[in-house]
Amino acid sequence: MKKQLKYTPALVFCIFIFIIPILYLSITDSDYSPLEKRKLSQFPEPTLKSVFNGKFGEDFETYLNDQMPLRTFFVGTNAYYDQLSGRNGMSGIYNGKDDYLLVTPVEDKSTFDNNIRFIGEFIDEIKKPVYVCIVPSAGCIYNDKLPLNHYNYNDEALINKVKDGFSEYDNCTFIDIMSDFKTLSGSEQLYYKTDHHWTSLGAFECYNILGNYMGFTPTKQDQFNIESYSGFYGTNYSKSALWFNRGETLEVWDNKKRADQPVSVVISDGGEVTATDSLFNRNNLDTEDQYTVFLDGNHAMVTINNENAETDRKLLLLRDSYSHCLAPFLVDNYSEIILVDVRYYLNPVSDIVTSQNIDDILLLYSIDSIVNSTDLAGIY
Amino acid sequence: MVFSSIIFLFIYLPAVLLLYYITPKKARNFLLFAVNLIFYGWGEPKLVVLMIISTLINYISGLLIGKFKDEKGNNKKGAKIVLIISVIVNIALLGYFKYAGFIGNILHLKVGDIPLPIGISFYTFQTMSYTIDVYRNDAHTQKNFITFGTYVSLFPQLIAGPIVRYRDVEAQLNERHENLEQFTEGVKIFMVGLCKKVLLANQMGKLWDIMRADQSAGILGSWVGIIAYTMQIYFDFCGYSEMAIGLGKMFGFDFLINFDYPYISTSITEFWRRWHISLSTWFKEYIYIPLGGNRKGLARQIFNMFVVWTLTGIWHGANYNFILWGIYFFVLLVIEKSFLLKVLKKAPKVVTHIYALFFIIIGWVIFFFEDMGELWAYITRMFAPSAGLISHDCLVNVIAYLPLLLIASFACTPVAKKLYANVEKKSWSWIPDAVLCLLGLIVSTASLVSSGYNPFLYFKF
Repeated sequence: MKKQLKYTPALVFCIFIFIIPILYLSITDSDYSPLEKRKLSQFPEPTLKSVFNGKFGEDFETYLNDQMPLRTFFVGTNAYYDQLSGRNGMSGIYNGKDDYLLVTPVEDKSTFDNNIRFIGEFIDEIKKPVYVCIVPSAGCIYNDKLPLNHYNYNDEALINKVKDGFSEYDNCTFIDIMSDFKTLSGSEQLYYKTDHHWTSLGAFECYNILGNYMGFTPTKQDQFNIESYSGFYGTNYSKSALWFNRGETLEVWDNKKRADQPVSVVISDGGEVTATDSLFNRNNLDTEDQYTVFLDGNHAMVTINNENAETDRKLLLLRDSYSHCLAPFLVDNYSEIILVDVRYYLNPVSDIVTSQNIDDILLLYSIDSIVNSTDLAGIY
Repeated sequence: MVFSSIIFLFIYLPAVLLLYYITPKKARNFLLFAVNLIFYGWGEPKLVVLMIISTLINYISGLLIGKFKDEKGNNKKGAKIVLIISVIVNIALLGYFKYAGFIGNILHLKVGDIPLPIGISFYTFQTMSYTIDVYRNDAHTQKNFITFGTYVSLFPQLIAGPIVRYRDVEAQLNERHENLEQFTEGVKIFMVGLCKKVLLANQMGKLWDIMRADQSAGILGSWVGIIAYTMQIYFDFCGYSEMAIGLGKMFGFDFLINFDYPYISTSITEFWRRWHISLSTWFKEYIYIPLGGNRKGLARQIFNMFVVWTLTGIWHGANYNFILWGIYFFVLLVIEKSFLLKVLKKAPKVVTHIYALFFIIIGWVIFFFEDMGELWAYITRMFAPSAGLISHDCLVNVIAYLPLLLIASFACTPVAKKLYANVEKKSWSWIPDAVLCLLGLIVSTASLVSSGYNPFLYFKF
């Protein structure tokens, strides 16, 4: 018996390499990965052609990786191994203090210059008042939550580049929220810990700042019913694969008046049009993608009408996903808000401005969008 | 197919092991030959044909050489002609597929895109060792085509070596005594190799990519970068060789070691005795010694070295930098041979280690950059401090990778092996063996799986 024990490593090895293929065969393939929010590849049908040009082999390996048994366990193990061996942030997410998962800094790229140019041309052509606001990244605002060894966040320089790029246009007002956010960050949680977005509170604070520049009276905080939903796990959580991090609370701020004074919301994607009277799709709180509670997430165009608004002005809001939870605040101040996401909206934006008699235009993008997005060309 | 992949570890290997051990002994070579072709054809379905043709040519050459030798009066002339033809055909095949593009470029000829068949440099050298050995009576003719095919295409060493000489495995090809002892040994060696490749080489590769891309990395950043590459290429190659040796043992083969802690060398001469041993042995055996080695006077010896090192350079790739790399070592070796080795013997060990590592590292710069402009630019970065000591971003990376850099440096020395040898003498050594094996499997698998984990953040603009 004693002699046989020395073969244990071989036994361990064989069990391991045999059990995985057995699991492959016994577990049914999944179609979708909620953590990665993408479809998983399926078994590729081999054809004579695909086998001989190597395509089948390639697809088969992708399939194996996507359908790997215990995949979540292995991905998590790797994430903790990276942390243990000192490489915090290699997944693109810093494991910060107080459970903060923070996206690593954005870097200046040629897309950034292009985006500034496209938006500049749009502002120049449109001749209406345009407000530009860039949301800094959480890592820049919560610098003190970052791990000791981290890349520098150059958000300030990047945002100034945007500001300088548009200073020549008289119809453009640049709204700088950086310094206010830095001050507020000491006492308030402006960004999620597990997601790259700002919290409802963060959006509300930005809304207050916008009021100063755009000349409206922001609704007071006590006017809102604040509903809290626990168990929110955002994109930074998925990306970091640090599964032991805790979930957090997602808040929905609904104006108390809204029950008596509903608004109309029309969501259109290409030809598809849906109408509702709520700014929040609470059904989505039970899905994997809880953030879509705000205005149902991404859509090409959303039109919100509020006949009880402070003014009868019309606002065009060119947005990324940060505006999903900002727009519900602005509803009190504009009788009509048209949100346009140029990733999906493929017609000229300037046509909306003339045909809908738009008064103000707000361009609100996260620093990541304005630097990295290749879709902003659609603005002009 | 590569060893460090999910398809190899969890589909191919278990399937082949299972099939191999349920197959009767007599049919095992046939099975191996068949699965070798699948292994090779997985990535290169069309180029399997080329490998089979090459195998056939050498198989027939071996038969003919054997036949001429057995003839009455030992027809040496006939054997020699067959040998010369087979060597020429082998070199022509290798030359066409590996070097035609490069030579075409020099001569401004349109050659078109020729795909480089994986492992052609390795299997061509193996088949040549066979015919030459048969000619020299160092090996017997292999009359069984399946057995010979199994040797040429043996999947453990097919695509990245070691270059196994026919005579070293001749007996095992005809009859193997697979046993649990050897299998367990194989598992352990394979696991060490797998961890070297996945946990060290791949990570060092990432660090090298980051440091290389940063033009303002600074003098220290550039050095850390090339040191990371020095680690990457060693653990990649050595890890692969160890996986091959381990796999060989699982199927009853014993291959010779290919790397013997090359970075602890105290001279370049010693380095080349420890680095890619099977290749150096091949060149020594089949080029250097036949040319006369060191027996025909100093001038001839230097010429012979020049030939060997130019060829060593070219063998690694079809480009100027590889030739330069070979000649670089030729010059260093000649200098060492003429006087420096004597000086080094008397010098303190620290100095000789630094001397050897310095020139090895500079060698890797030449080896990496195929573009002469980039090569020179990197050398400049390492010695002319125009960008300061190190950029902030690079420093962040150096700190992040410091634990792995230290582990990798430690793994370049035989210290861990020596320490673990004490554990292996104990009766309870199976416990750490098994635990390390399991941990290594889990963490390596985790690393491989993670490379395909791509959260698709579609809501992220």
